[in-house]
Amino acid sequence: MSSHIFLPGLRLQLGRLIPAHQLYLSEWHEEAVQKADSGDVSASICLQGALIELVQFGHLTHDWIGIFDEYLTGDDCAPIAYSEKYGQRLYGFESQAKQATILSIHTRWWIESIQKGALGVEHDRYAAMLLPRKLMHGLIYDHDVSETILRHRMKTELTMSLAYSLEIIGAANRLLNELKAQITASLVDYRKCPPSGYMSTEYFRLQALRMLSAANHFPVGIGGAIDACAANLEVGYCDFSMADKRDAYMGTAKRTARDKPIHSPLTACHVSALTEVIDDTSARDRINKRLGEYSRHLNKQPMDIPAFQMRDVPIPFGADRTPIEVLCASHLIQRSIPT
Amino acid sequence: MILGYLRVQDFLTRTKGEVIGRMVTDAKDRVYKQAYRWQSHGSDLLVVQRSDGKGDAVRIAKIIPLTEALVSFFGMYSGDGAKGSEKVAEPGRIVPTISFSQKEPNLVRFAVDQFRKLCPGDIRFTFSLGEDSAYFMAGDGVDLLREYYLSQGLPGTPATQTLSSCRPQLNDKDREYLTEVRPDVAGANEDYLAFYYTHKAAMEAILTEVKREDLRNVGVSLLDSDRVTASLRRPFKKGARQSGGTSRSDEIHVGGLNGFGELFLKMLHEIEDSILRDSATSASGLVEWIGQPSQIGQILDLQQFFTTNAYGCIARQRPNWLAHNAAYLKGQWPRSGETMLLRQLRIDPLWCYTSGLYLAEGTTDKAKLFRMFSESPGSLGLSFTSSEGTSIELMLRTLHRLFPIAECVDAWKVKVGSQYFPELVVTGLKHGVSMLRGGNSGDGKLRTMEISLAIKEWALAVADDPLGQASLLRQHYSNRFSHVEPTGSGVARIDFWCSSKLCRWYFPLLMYTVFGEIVADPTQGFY
Repeated sequence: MSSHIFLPGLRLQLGRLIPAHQLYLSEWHEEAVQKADSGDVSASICLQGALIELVQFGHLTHDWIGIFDEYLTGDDCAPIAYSEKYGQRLYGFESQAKQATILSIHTRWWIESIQKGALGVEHDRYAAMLLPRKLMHGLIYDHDVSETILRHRMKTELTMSLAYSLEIIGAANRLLNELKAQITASLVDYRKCPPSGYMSTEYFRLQALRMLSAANHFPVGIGGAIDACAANLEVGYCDFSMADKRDAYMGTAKRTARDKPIHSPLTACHVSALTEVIDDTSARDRINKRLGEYSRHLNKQPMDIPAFQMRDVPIPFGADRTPIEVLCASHLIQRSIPT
Repeated sequence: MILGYLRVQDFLTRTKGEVIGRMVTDAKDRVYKQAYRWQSHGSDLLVVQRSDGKGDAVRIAKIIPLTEALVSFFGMYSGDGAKGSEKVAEPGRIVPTISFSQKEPNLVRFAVDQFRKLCPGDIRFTFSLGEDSAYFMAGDGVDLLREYYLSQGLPGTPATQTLSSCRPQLNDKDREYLTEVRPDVAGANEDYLAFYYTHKAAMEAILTEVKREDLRNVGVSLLDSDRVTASLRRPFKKGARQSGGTSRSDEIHVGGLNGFGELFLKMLHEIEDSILRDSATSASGLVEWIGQPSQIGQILDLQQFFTTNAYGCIARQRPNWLAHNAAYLKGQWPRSGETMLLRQLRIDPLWCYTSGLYLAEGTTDKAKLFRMFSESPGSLGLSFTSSEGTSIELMLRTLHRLFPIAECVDAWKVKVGSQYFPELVVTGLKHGVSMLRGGNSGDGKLRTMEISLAIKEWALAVADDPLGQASLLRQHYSNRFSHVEPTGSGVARIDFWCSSKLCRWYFPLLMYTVFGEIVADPTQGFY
């Protein structure tokens, strides 16, 4: 059985998909493959395509490594996030699109691991793309791609990049004690990675700490943060609490009063993983109960995966359904069905 | 030239004095409604007042001619004017107030004149200059402060007192300020608050005089009922991130129009909507153009305009003509690029409205537009930002009137304020990617294409929304979308920009439209 760190709990194997999910994923996959064949592809498309194949067929059916070799490999042999043609989807972005990110490196590494098995992968080669190139301030992140100072970076980016990197570095047996200590100290440093209340940030923090054998340093209070992410939602969880949103300019919540949270199957999966570090059993039960209700809701309305909107304007702001969301929804539904 | 009329009396009679409308601004969908009573005042005027007797009795013409300047004024108000505030007891309903944000003195004078023409009764103005008191902590502000104290007989700027001595009793806002955290600003809030209260009176006096001087320079004659005030914000409260930084905001509050705001907004919306739909009569009949809007208005021969008209020069120079065919001229300003433009331009309601709208919302430094006729304006840029599809569509239609379609837009982006960064992050996660920002402080091009491409779809849908069909943005410039730009604050908005060579053709025509009937020779100054 395969798994991916991004999707906690998901069994990436041949499984039952409800027809609506099956149809959506098949159509998405077909279009992605067609475009990829013409060189219009990104690492994230490869990842989603591979995930779909694992749940639909039980193994990879497309040569994603070949796609990487042909279109998603930089001059220095590092996997890059966007092909040249994909980069043209944005006007004037071609030169910047050629970027080797931790996610693109991890995606290539993960697909290769699935395709060849862990023993067939040169883990050390991938680890060398991360160390020391991406190591800075005791964290591992894409400072070579995005020069934004630490304080202005998205916290989810920091913990996610770190978790992805540690997975590769660990596989290469290069996670030495000195490095572990350095990274753990940064990860618990309030100035670098303050407890955020963002489910994704905290989920990846937990994953990173576990790989560092330091889960005991996970911040307290995650139960309250999870509850806050359920506010104003009939079902499920949002990645963040609207009440915590602040306009950085004014430092007030005034300008966010009309914003609405959305529930997300992906977030529900992250929340589910976070319940493992909630000591208060009643809080954990309450959250698990809500997750169960959300699973049943998705069972009834499997495509109820909304997008955000700008205040009152009912136009999707960003994506609603994506393969990742649908796969998570499918996982939650399967989990709710008694075997 | 009169392009149409606001038939106020007929409208009120037909609707039995009920005014109702819906508006979406800053992505807030809200309604306004009001009931009025009215009576004739002489042969041409009405006195309009809320039917419950509250508010002011406002004098207004029964039929208001829509000149180029007045249509431009409404366009300007659409951009810079207040739309109202929401009623606490009735969420979703706004109570309009009439005020106008504008710093440029000539535009202030223009707005004042248009307000007085529109409402020839007892209206009064309060001119307010708001500034962050951090402005007085370094740079020019320090000099102004020292000069002020010298003029008061002091040897210089006195030392800042302790907070407990200059502000023994803190109010709620003071206490809130002291608890606020500004990661970008070094220093202690207590010291800043002490500076604010030590010099508050001096700073207000300085700013009030600055505003008075601005108004004097453009000949705004203050009546006894008019006021000039200054409003100081606590340091770094808004905008200014460093000592000496400015976040000046100028407001014109119009008094004597209490209760009139709903009718005023209705005029504005009916003008805009009839232009957008190119309809001779607005939905409620309040606006009646003299014909189909796109078919009315004076026609300018552009070669002639830029050869002979007083507004057709920049820095007292005129363009060279390189070629022409049946549809297009090719011209070139000194030290600028060759540009194709249409041979004729109709100064129709759309052109007038967007001229005012651009003066309000366009990102060009307004002062340059007023001095460009007599001196070199330096570099000019043409770009426009709006969260509303209607404004984007109207501006693009306007540029299409003057330039070949392919030349009108260089590229466009979506700017997203910090309060929506979490939404961007989640959008990335839905595609399996994290959000990588660009630039040292994160306000450059977003490096994560998946997020930019997802938000592009939002922008195109916003542009289409008021039309019910594909907008010009989607039809012609979908492939010019550049990126998402995380920025300081505010709802997501569409921002497009054009080649700088278009500026020298567009801006003279814009200024002619708004001021052509008011100022004969712009090289001699405006007001």
